Amino acid sequence: MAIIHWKRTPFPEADVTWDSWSLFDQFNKDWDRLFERSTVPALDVLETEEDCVIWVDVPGLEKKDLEISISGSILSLKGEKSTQKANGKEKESPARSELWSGKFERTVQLPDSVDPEKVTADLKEGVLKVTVAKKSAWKARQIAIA
Amino acid sequence: MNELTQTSKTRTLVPASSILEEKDHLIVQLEMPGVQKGDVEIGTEGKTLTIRGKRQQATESGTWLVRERRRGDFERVYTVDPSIDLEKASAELSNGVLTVTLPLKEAAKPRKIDIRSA
Repeated sequence: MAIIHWKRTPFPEADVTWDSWSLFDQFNKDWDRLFERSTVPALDVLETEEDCVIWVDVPGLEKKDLEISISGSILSLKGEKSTQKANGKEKESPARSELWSGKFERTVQLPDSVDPEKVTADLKEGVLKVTVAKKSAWKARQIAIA
Repeated sequence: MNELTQTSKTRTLVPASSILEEKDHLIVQLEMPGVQKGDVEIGTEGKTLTIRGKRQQATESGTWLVRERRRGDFERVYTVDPSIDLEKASAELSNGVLTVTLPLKEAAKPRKIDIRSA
């Protein structure tokens, strides 16, 4: 039979350094997370035999608002989403808004097989599509049996 | 039960939107990334304004390394105040953002009232 260390407190996590506020702190953190709006655009990465394709949802952004760079197999995206513009002029405060604005930055680790020299990017309908070709040496090659 | 199992085809998303109030019109902006001009449908019926945006389904095949973007068509329904002239509503799609302009009815526009001097 295993010997189980006996604990005086009914809650083991409340042992030794029991701080009555820590529970509130934890709750606050969770609460904040619950209402936190995403300020990072969602993205997809698809790996095919020929290349690696990245799609990023960037509604409202123009070409000039985006900056893409690649170093090795790490792709980084930088952008700034500006506040709502209607008819080209900046509005003070909308009656109701669910849209976010501000700067964002994301880095994506791509497979090692990508060739950082062969990248194309295309922005269409608020979706950024980045295509990174794979190094030819990494492409699947059919090997004939002699 | 069928509805629960059918996911990808029938799912609709509510696009994030903002409403701006101007002197004589309202501007509704909806974020609909990936929606093409011809796939936007704006319908009015009585007091409701329905905005739909269809998206082309991705047909690429391969291995998804990251998949965060939500799939599906967009749909949002608004109940519009009677002071808005839905007949004169106009819309514009640019960079995945649909901007709908809803003009106020003539009678509802702010009017300047001259004060007659006695």
